Amino acid sequence: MTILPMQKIELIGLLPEEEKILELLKKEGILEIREFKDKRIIPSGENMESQIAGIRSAISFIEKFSKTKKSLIDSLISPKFELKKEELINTSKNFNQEESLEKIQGLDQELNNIAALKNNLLQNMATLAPFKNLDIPLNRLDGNQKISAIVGSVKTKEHKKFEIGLRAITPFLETEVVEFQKNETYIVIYFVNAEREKIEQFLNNSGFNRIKLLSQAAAPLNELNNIKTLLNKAEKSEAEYIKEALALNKNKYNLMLLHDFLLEKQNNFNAKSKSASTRYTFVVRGWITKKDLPLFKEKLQKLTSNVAIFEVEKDKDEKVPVAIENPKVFAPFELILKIFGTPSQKDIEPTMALTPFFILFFGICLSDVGYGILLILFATLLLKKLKLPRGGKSLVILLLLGGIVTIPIGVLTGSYLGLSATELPSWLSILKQAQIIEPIKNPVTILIMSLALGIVQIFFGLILQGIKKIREGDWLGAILDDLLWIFFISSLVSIFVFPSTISNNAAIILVILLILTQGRSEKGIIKKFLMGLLSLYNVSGYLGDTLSYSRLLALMMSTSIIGMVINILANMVKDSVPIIGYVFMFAILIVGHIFNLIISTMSAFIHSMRLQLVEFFPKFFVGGGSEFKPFRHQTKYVNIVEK
Amino acid sequence: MDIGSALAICGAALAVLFGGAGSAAGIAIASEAAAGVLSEDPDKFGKLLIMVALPGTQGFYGFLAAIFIMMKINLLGGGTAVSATAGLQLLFAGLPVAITCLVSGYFQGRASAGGIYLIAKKPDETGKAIILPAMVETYAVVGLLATILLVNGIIL
Repeated sequence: MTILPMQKIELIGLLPEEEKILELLKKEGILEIREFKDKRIIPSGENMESQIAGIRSAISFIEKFSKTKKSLIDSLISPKFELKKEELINTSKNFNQEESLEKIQGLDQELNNIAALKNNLLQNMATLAPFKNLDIPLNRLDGNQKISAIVGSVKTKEHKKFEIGLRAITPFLETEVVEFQKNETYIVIYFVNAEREKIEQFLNNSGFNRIKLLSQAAAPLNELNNIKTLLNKAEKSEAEYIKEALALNKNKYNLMLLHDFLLEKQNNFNAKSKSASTRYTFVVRGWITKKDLPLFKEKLQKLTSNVAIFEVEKDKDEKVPVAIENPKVFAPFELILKIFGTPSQKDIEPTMALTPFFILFFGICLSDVGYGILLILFATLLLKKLKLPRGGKSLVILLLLGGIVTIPIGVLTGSYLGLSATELPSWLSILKQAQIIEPIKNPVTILIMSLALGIVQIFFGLILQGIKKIREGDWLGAILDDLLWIFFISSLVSIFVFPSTISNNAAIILVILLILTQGRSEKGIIKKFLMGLLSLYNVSGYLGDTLSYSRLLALMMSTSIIGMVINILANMVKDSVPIIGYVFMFAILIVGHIFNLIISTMSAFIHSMRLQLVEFFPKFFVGGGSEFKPFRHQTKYVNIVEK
Repeated sequence: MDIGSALAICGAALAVLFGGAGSAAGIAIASEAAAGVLSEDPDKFGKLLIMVALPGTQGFYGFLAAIFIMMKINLLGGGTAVSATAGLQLLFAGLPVAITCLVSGYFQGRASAGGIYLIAKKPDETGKAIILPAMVETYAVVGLLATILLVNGIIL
């Protein structure tokens, strides 16, 4: 609803009490700490960043082997577990981190080594496999003073040609085919050393693929068996290590706590390094909302009396952080604003303005009583079952509210899990009377309604812009730009809806007024006139924005028709096979409707949001402020709670 | 069955074909990008699944238009006689959704892939990454709307 007024303060306290005061600040989460120009330099002592990185990789190592996989919902909203501050500190202190970290690193190293070894062995095996019929020890292939050997392969279809070519060079050689495959033929060539040069030259030009075999005392078949034994051994010890890794799962919880404990420590350190200090005191400078200030002072006094707070002026060119506040019902909708960005200090906070439109559009897009009820059920279940972080909670609450709004709209358009009101059982026939329109038969009516809603929201946006201008003292701008355009668009609409000379004349007068006023900031009468004329081009922009709301119709149809098709399909299989037909029918109904619910909810959410961000916001909202980021707990796995 | 119905069915078929093809192409592009990101960080699966699903709507829009045409000629309930002219009209009416869905499906896939890289680097900006490809989808929606209104306006 409002952008809160901010106050810059300086907090001066005694160095021994710094930790205590920082903890209070963190707990309250109300002060954004700004950097001092002549900030102090604190030696970090321990290298926290690499410690945290080490723990993080240890956790992911454990997770790799843990049997409980993360569910899809978990990975979407990443729930945290709740813990008191003291518990966090105690567990982290009592936990023997070095030992388990060392063990994990060792295991990781061992497993990597084994994987590399296995890879190596398998490769050797693959190279050696074709030569298993070769009956001499491998190191004999290295040759002696008189005779040498070359091992390799040629393409099978070129083998004959190869042999003939080889023998044509010199008679002082012998070839042995050791393996004959469909594509490759593996050969050993024995020759007298004097002929080496000629033979090698031939081999280089004949597509011969030389293979280097390991020099071993064993024959290939024995060597293959040796490798197999080694491989078995490697696999056995790998299994052992994996078992050990699985056993480490019990340390995961402690490691998570330790991770967050260190993160908090680092957080404090960062805060400290932004502040300045003298020999006995420290100064923290930052922004706080004006309304939080008195209570904060009180709490601080309760903590210690050796502390002082001064209100200070903002620096030149300093950007004041923007904090927003909304009533509890509207707070989840800040999510949509957040996606767009942070308002600037001059903006009207748009959350409450967009809420009714967003929720209504969402309902129109989904527009099915059954899906509304299902959405409410899912959302309540999620809220009950999971401890959600703030963003995830807002999202689920939005879906819950959206589900609630969907139900009446579904009644009005007569859609019940893809069934129309006439297909409902007779005891629900009262709902039939509540239906006011059949969208599939009257798409044009719904289209006009969608566009009308669009015009309403665009007007609302223009009114907000007018209010913003009036707040800044620009009465003339509010009347001549925003009000005049509202009148002009209304007159254009009335030409279509109630064609009459009155609306025609009104439109003409407004066109003239727009031409006369829109160029008023320009210099020179001609430029004023031209800019005024050019401003009429904005009509196309407003037209485009209005037409964009037609998506409400398309999405409404999409939900109900896909639902309908699922029902038709289910009906088709019902009588296809006795009894099993019913099983298929229920399977299609359940899977189909859940699928449609997911797809349609996603579309409804995204497109309703888009209408706010793209069509509504630009009418009055500038954004580009810097978000208020108070100093608070920074954790990944744990939510720190009070007693 | 008369030639009019055949033409109308052709219109419905084109809508499904092109819409589905567009979505398939788009999802494939987004999936490739997502698989790349997942190889580094499997935890992002949930977020990326949404991004991959975004170009999937075009296929449904095409299907939806086909159902609309089928309902118009009462194909699901045995079929009514359709004149050749009306059939041709229905065929043409199916084209806006078919072609906009084909093209926008492909390009939405590319926009999604871009969004996926954004999520890979800045997971907190998922909202923005989702809204950008949704811009592309607008024109598939407009195509669907045109088809629905055209079909609605045709007199058999």
